[in-house]
Amino acid sequence: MRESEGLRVDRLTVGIAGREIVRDVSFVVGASEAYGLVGESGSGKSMTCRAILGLLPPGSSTSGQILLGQTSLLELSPRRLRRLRGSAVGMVFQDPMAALNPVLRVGPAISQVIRSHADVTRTEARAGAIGAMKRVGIRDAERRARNYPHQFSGGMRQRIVIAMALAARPRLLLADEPTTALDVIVQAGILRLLDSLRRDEAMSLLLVSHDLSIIAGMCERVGVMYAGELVEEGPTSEVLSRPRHPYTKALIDSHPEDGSSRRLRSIAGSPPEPGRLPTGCVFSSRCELVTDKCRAAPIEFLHVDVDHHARCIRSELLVPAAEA
Amino acid sequence: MSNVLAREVLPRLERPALRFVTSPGWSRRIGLLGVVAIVLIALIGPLVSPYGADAQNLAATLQHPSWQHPFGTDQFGRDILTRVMAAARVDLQIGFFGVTIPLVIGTVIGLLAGYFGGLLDIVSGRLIDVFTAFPFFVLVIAIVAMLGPGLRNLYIAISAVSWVAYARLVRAETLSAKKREYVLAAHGLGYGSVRIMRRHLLSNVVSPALVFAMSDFVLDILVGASIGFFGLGVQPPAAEWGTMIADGRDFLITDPWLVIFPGLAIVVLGFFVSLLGDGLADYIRRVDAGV
Repeated sequence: MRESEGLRVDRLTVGIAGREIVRDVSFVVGASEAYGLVGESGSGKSMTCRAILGLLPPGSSTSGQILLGQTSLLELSPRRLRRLRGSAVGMVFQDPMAALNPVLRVGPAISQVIRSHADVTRTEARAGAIGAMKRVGIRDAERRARNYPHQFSGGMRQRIVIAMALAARPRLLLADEPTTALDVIVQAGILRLLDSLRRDEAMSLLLVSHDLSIIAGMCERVGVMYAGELVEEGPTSEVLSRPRHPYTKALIDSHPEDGSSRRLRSIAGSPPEPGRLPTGCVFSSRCELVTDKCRAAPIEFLHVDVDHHARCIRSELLVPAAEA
Repeated sequence: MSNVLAREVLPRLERPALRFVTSPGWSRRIGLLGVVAIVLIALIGPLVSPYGADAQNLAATLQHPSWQHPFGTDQFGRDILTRVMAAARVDLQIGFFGVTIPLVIGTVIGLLAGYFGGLLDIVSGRLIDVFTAFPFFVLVIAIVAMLGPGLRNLYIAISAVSWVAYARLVRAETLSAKKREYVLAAHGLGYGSVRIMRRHLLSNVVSPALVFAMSDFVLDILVGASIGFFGLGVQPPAAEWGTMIADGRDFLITDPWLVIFPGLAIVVLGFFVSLLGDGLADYIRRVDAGV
């Protein structure tokens, strides 16, 4: 059973200060599978990640279930959850400038991760740290291990962050916009690195991004988030070529095509604020296909195709006429 | 040879301790030089002086400054230069312990309060408010008067009062530092609270407290001198700048050097420590900015 080894998020709801930031999110990341979460800022992608790690801000509440293999993460004691972080689940943060402690040399910073999760000697941890730096493609790792974060470029720092996240060999890596703070050339290198590491280490990857093209190139499955809800979920090729939710379609249409000089299309209006959501479908205020029924009541996550779900009652309308 | 220089010597120059001396900034370097010089004088001076710090010579009382006695002698014929140098040991010690003990206590409390918040933060916050509400000098003198004279009781009094300043600074820094992404990342790597505070927060929150420690050092020496002036500090015949000033005040009109030289010593030490503190603040700002 391949799913039993991966990550299963089931009807996850996260509330902060009485507002539901994430609502009824369900998806499965299979073992050694790459799953992409896409959506705009504030759609709840990062909070979903932080809920998986149990690192939500104080005063937040969760319901639903998060299963890593057979372990239910939301029911773990803080102590056991802490032991799981880093060793079973690694996380790569958005801004490598901010995610490294400025006063720690990078070598010791990485060996700290190893030492805190495995019973090894200082020397073994040091060797492990240098090994981890080599694995993420840092040349001259022995010498560079003695450097401070500010002595590295942005791309190199992100590699160090990845080396730290992977140092204790987790089964699942969460990457929250890992390349947003980097320029495009460096971005390609980091993504290639993440992709090859995932294959080499047979680990699951949950990649969060606002950029559909990144996810299209890296992930087998994709989930589209909007206003805290997962509005569509399925195999990447399927979702991108035959979107079954108007928001996904609009998102794809607003993406520039190679060699095309047409004006970029945008989605009219702006997403609803948390706490002031419409009663019905969250996208109803911006949707071209909206009906009274859409506005009446929340929409269920509907099965639209093999392994393909969408939170839309009019999704048949999006199927190209030739296939319908 | 140049290879050795490039491989072995130059990287070492980047080490923090050396960079602290070599990187530009005159006030820090002059201050450091002055403080080191004063410490050396305090250590070596009394040893090489031909006079004992407490040795009386009733045949040569109240001598004007001269080649034999550059700072003159007091009413018991003791050499004032020797006594000023011997007193520097006591006053530097007051400054040192008066800073380090509260720095450690205040940093620990501030770090815990800032990191955990909650009841601990509320209790320590109210305690800080109470202590801050009293004038520093008055409270220290009151505590020493209560405990009795002596250096040990002076340290207790200073520690009891001035930890609050450090705790407040460290707490404020911790509150902002714990929201930074590398602390979140440390949580994400499964580190425990102790490790996060010790390895990831401490070194990033302690710098304002260190800068404050420099001006606090001067303040503590002034407190030590004032306490000595009131007769609550170092007991005679041991030398201490404040005590020397107090003892010499009867001769202020006729033989002012009894008072002027210990007073000057306080001013000079205060000047260099303040320069060092200023320079340190500049230095930390620059290091933080990554220059």
